[in-house]
Amino acid sequence: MGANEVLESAEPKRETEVFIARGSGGWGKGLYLRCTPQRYKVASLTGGGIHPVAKKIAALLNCPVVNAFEEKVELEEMVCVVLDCGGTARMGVYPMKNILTINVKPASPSGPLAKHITENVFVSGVTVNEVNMSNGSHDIDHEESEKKTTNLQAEKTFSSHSSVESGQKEKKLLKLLTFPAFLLSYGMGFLYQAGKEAVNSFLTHVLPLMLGVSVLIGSFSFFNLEKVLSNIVYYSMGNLPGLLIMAVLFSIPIFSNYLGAGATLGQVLIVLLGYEIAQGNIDFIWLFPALFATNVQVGCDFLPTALSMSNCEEKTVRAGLKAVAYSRLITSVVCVLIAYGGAKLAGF
Amino acid sequence: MDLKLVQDNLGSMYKFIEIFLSYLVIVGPFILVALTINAFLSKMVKKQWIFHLAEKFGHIRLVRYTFLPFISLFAMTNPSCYEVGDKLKEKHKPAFYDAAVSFCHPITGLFPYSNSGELFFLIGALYPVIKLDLSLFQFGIAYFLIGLAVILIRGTVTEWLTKKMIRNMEKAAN
Repeated sequence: MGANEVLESAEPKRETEVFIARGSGGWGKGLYLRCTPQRYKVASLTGGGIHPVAKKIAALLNCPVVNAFEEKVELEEMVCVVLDCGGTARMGVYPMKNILTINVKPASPSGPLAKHITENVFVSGVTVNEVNMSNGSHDIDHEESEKKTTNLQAEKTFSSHSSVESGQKEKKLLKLLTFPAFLLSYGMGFLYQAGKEAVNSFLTHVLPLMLGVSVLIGSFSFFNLEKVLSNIVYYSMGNLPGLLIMAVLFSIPIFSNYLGAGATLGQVLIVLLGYEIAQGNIDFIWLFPALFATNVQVGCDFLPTALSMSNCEEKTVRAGLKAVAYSRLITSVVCVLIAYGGAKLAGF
Repeated sequence: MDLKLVQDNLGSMYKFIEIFLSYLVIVGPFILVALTINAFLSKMVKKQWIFHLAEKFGHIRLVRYTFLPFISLFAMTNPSCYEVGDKLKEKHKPAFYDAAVSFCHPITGLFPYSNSGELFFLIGALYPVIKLDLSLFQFGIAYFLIGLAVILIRGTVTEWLTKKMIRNMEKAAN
């Protein structure tokens, strides 16, 4: 259809190459983009329509740009994906699938998928000014790096095969004797790795949050606004009508796409409520309905990415985007009431 | 303690340090130990088992919207667990994602490693639980069970809406 027409008219200019530099405060060395017959779409995954950066890249490369929130794009068809992820999830998934990722927010690798975010596939902090035509031919080839990794993997599997074969030749008695030691070292290795991951996520996610929280709450008490704070929290989250209004407001489809990014508002509200409960200003029971009321919009920003991860057809994606948005609106009130009833049942 | 010295020196600025230390001491150790235990346990569950489970029992609604989101979050953690949806029927995929992502935070009460990147709700909630001397397990289990009930309802409603939307689109196309 429309995309195909653009493709045909763009055929002679296929060799154009675009260089995207790192923005101020961004991360990465910069990326070279080039269309191939297989990869010819620029995907935009930003809140509020197609981002100007995606538009400019598409204009320079002479290829179609697609809003991935409204239409499904095959992973194999993407030249690159432009997204505005300040959190951890969207930013890691595309580098993991080896797709060139351009983040318009200045973020550096973090989160559980941080190890996939490398300089070869990721650049952040990009604005329209960083998108330019490349002047010389450059040979950082995306496909080549893919080949290299597969070669490495092949070698690894080969070597492990040979070690297994030699292992089978060992005597059974020796195996039996060394088994306890093997088990211990095997288990200890797992435990050590688990501890390492725990410390890592504590340092990168939990500690910065605690510092932010302490400055936020500390500034309320520093300016003697503690009364104001506890009043705000009490009237918005310390009673059932306030929570119900909040849940409905957060689940309105227009809001939920924006609020979902990093769950910023929800986390601030819960931390403030928790602090007020600990001070004894509000009953503990309100924590449960509030945990669900401030979190009704969870995951709405990640929906197109997650559906493409589970290989959805385009029709289902379009139906699912609407269905999830309206389902949140319908279930928000029910969920808050269930949480309140559950907390009563649990004896809080 | 030497902190008294800092307190005298900083005056009203000390409030910031006091709040930070109270969060660190009250919530920090529990989260660190729980993360380690949970990381060890979730390495014991293999990815293939969950895919197999989804293929075999994915057609049962109760499994699809309660047990499957839990076990896939537990073993595969937040962003990669949505790949399990691949093994389900096409019309169930959006509803499964809705259920799984809604369970991201309720699961942290018992298994924080499943969503270690986004522990902010847990930190905010644990602070009063420990400070008011309530049972951590009682809180965790209550949060977990309420979460299960919520995702069952949400998954069912989303599935119903998805089917309706697909039917509407087919009608519009004809």
